[in-house]
Order: sequence, then structure tokens, then C-alpha cells
Amino acid sequence: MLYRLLINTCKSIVRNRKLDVDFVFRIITILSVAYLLFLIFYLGLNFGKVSLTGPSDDSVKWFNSVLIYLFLTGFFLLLLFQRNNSKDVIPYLHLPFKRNKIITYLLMITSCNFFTLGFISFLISFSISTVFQVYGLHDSLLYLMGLLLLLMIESYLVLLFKNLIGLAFPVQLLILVIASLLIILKVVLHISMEEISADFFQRLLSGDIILILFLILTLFILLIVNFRLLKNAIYYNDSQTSGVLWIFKKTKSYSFINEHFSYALLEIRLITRNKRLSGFFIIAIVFIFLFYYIIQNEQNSIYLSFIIFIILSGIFGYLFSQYLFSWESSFFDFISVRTFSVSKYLRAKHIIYTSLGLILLLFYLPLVIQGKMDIHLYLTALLYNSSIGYFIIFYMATFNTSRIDLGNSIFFNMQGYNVIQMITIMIIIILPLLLLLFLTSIFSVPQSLIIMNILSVLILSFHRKWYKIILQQLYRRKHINMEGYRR
Amino acid sequence: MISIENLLKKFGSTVAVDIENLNIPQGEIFGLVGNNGAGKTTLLRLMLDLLKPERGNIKSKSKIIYQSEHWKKYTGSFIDDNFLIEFLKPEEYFDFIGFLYGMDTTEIKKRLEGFGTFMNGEVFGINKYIRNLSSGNKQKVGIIGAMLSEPEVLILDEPFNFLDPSSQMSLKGILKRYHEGNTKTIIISSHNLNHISDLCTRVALMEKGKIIKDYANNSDSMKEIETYFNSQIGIF
Repeated sequence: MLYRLLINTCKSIVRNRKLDVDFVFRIITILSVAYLLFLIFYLGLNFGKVSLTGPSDDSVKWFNSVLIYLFLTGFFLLLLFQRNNSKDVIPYLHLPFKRNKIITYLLMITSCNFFTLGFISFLISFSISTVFQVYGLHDSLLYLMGLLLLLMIESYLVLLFKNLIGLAFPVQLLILVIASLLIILKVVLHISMEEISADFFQRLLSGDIILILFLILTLFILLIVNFRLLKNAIYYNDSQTSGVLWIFKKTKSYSFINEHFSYALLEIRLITRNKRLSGFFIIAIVFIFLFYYIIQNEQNSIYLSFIIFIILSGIFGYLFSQYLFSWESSFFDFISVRTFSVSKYLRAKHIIYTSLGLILLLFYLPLVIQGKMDIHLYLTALLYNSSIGYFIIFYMATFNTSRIDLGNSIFFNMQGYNVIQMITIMIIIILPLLLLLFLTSIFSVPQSLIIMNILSVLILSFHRKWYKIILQQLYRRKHINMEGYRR
Repeated sequence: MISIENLLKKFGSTVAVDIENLNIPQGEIFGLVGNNGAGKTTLLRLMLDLLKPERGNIKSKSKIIYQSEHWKKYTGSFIDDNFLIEFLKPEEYFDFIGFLYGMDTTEIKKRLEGFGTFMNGEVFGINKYIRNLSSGNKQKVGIIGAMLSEPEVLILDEPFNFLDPSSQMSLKGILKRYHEGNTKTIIISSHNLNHISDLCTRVALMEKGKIIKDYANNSDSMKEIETYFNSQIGIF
């Protein structure tokens, strides 16, 4: 029975409906995932080289000291992005499957996710190239077992949080509290997370059976708790929408993705199928390579690096958003007379630009590993762009009144250009630099960056308000803009 | 269904539309005729809140159209290429419209089957973006897109333009079937008096932004309209 359910899951991954949309999209997705896994595997295989320690005890120790950050990142990534598997069991609720089997199946597929897959890819190559050579087979196997147990614990902890959020929405605050506590421990109390992490994983390497047993017990408890929660939650709620699981309905992430997917696809097609926008995309790629060269070869000050990272992390957003609504001028009438949600369209753009900024980090990963690129500085710039920069550009774009013919070439073509766009971009780049200068005159650099991060998150948490202001402005200027778009 | 009160739209000093009162009840096929520059397209644009009038109101189901967006849910329209998303393929365009109106793929397919003869195998499965279609096929995509959500109000500007004779006949059949049951309101502007006379239950004649005649469609009114156009070029 379980075997059949698992086979169906494999089929659903291979025959994913979203990949049917476009052949190019399918190829790009497959290549991206394969490239990412290869990169992670390669990183594990050459970890000694990239950490400049060689395949030695030191490289394992260094890896152990940063493992805590990897697990924390994984926890938040899974919490935010892991799909809700409850949907997969909907068809089986009609069939004569025992409820316990369905829940067991749900628990099994929960531990299978891209983060775990990536981590295991790394662990395998890292173990072959380094851990086995330094610590021998016995200790290495115990170490690997401990890490795998931790990965599973992490997956089920995320599931537990998601289930609890389904029961009571304010549980989300608990996650914020945990994140804040960690920041306080690190920044205010100056407790070294690296040392804690190194000690913990060194105990695994030295074959601490008690620790392994403790991890097994934790995993067991999490499984039992999740099992009970799911058992109570999985049922049809006929009074609401038939065919929708209660727990699934409570989780908003799927419907959010579903509602925004078509708008995101429209944006991707707008960029990839029109000469003028494709030209901008190529310019962005040129800049990305140029900055790679600069970062690799120049030792820049923190302020210059920050400017570079602001431009870099927001390069797609800046290039495309500054002409926002002018790109859409050729179908703005369509947007105006249909039940087209401009707000969702803007959100989709926002998500795409931010995601591209994150994906860019993968390209720069070798520089991060070599210590030539400060990842915190980059993420601060990305967060700033996402929370402040794009909103300012979106707002200023409501003043774009020129039509842009999408089929024209980008070169020697000033159609759609205006001075406001240039000034806006300048302000967006200079503003955070001034803030960083001010903060670093009072605090240390890491503290300043954390203050900036907190400010960005605070501003981002009011995103609905900013979208509302942008839309109000757009509707106020709608008729003026449309006259320009028809010229 | 749709009512216009004291409407004035100017482009500079030129009056484009000046209508004191016009009511289009539910279930009517309302035809707009007039020479170039008479204000037909401008009136349709005003009805879709694409232009802001200098004064006056347009109400749809008793609500002023530029004060809410309720009318978008039950109004389908096609005026020109700006109503198309030209970098999409026709299938993708219809899918997107379906998504906007909460239709699933099966429902979209089912509704598109009704336009099979009209499309004549020239729109689907040809792997072309809308921008690369001929003017006639673009026109077909726009009209189908407007009708896909089966709106209560359908607004079409010169729908017979660019269409070959067979497609024109096919479109006329589609619009007649669409109107069966008298629940749908259709507003059409056209230069082709034959089509207007075949389709419409009511015809308004526009000149310099004003509605100078408003007839129930019968043979006498069509003769009168023909006489009007003949008089414009000095034929009596």
C-alpha cells in the first residue's frame, strides 16, 4: 500500500503540471536543479580546498562550527517554502486506505525535500573526500548518522510548526521570538554559536552514543506528536469547501503561489519574449560578470562593496521596474478592463526580482567560500532592495506615461526613458549607504547590518500598506498614463 | 443596464462625445453607426473607463463605472490591439483570461469549442505569438477573448473589420446565439450597415459626438440611416 503511494508521489514530481507550461521553462528548471546539486556535490568534494585547510581535521572542525547556521537556514527555508504535502493525500481519502497508513506516508514524504537532498549530496561527497580519511569508518558513520537524524528532526520540527500554525495563527510569532533570541545571543550576549556548534558535532565524531540516543528519542517524540496532530487534522470539512483538507486550507502558502503563478508567468514571458526586455536581461548578465571580476580581483572597502551589492542584488529589479507600466503600455487597456489584479502582478514581479537576487548568490558562491564576498552584506543589500528599493521604484513608475514598443531594439533607443527614473535609482542606491555610514559611526559593522536588517523587515511587514499606496496612485493617474500609452 | 447622463468628452477644444441621456437596457443589441470621427470608439472607451470624461456619468447596473470595478466581472470587450497581450500565444492568452475569471482548463476548452468554426483552424495549434498573427486572426482572438467569460455585457468596436466574409457570417451567427434568451447586452459599433441591420435590436446614429437618431431596428429606420449616409456624399 505505502509503496504504491510513494510511486504516485514520484509520478507527481515527474509529471508536475507546472512544468508542462513551457518546454523552455521545463529545461531551465531541470538544468538549474541539476546544476545546483552538482555545485553542492562539487563543494563537498573540494571542501578542503575551498576552505583553504585541505582534507584535514581542520576542515571538518570548520565545517562543524558553521553547521548550526546551515541547520538554521534550512529550518527557515523549509518553514517558508516547503510545499504542504497534505494536498497529495486528498485523492486517497476516498479510497479504502487506512488513515494511519496515509499519515505514515505523509510523514515519510515530509522528510524528502530539496534542502535534505542538497545537504545529503554535500555530506556524501564531503565524507568521501575528507571525513572518512581523517576519522576512519566507525566514527564517520556515527557522525553521518547523527547528521541524518538532525536533518529528519529539522523536517519534522518544521512540520510541527506548520501544523501548529494551522491550529493557531499566532504561533508564527513564536518563530520570530526564536529568531530574535538567536540574534540576541549572538550579537548582544556575544555567545559564540560557532563554538557551540563545533563542540556538539565533535561529540558526534567522537562516538558519543548518549547523544545519538538523545537524537533518536527526539525524532521519535516529534514523529508521535506530528502523527497525532495530523490524525486529528486530516479530514474533509464539508461545511467549507468539499475536497479540501482542513489543514491544507489553513495553510495559505499554496493558494498564494497558485494565485500569483499566472502573473509571474506573464512577467517571465514579457521578459523573455520581447526584444527590448531581453536586451535589458543581457545587460544585467554582463554586469553580473563584470561585478564578479571586480569582487574577485579588488579588495574593496565595506561601503564600496555595499554599493556594489545593492546594485547587484537589485539589478533585475532596477532594470525592469524603472520602466514598469510602460512595458505594459501595449496591453494596458486589457489590464484596465479585465479583473486583472495589479496588486498580485506587482507582487509577482517583486517575488521574481527578489528570487533572482537570491539565485545570483549561487553564482557568487565560490567568492563567498573564498571569503572575498561578505554574505551578510549582500543579504542586507538584498533585503533592503526587497523591502524599500522596489517599493520606491514601483511608486515612481506610476509616473511613467510613455509607450514602449516591446519589439524594438534596446540600443540607441530612448523610448520610455525619463529623468525621474534615473534620479529614483540614484536615491535608492545612496539612501542605504548614508544609513550604513551613520550606523557604523555609532555601532560595529555587524551590529549596523543587523539594525538595517531589522529596519528592512519592519518596513517589509507593512507591504500591504505600500502596495495600497502604489495602487491608489496608479488609479489616480490611470487616465493620464493611458493617454500617453496610446501615443 | 447601462445609462449615460450628461456625458462630455473633449480632446483639446474638439468635442468627441456629448450625450445628454442614453439608456441601454439588459438584453439589447445596441448598434452604433456613424462616419469616421463621429465619436463611436470614444464612447465605447468611456463606457470601459479607459477615458475620463470632462463631465457626466456612465452607470453600469446603477453604479458609476469609474467609482468601482464591479462592472469588470460581467463586461467583456474588444476595441483594438491594446486589448491583446501580443507576446502570448492564443492558447496562453485564453488560459490567462480563464485564470482571471476563475475558470479551469476544462471549462476554457469547452467554451472555446463553441468558436471552432469561427477560428477556422487558423488560431490554435499554429505555435505563433499573437503579434505574428494576421490582422483578421488577431481580431478573432480579441473577440473570443472578450466572449470567453460569457459576460453579461459585451462591447465590440468594429468587430467585422479585417474578417473574411465567411468569418463575418460566422461571427454574426455566434453573436445571435449569444443573445438568445435576451439576457446578454451587446454593444457594437460598425460601419457595415448590413451587419448592424441583421444583428441589432436598436441602432443609434452618431455625428460629431452626439447621438442624432436613436431607432428601434426595422426596415424604415434602416432606410432612414441609409438616406442619411447618402446625403453626406450628396446622393439622394
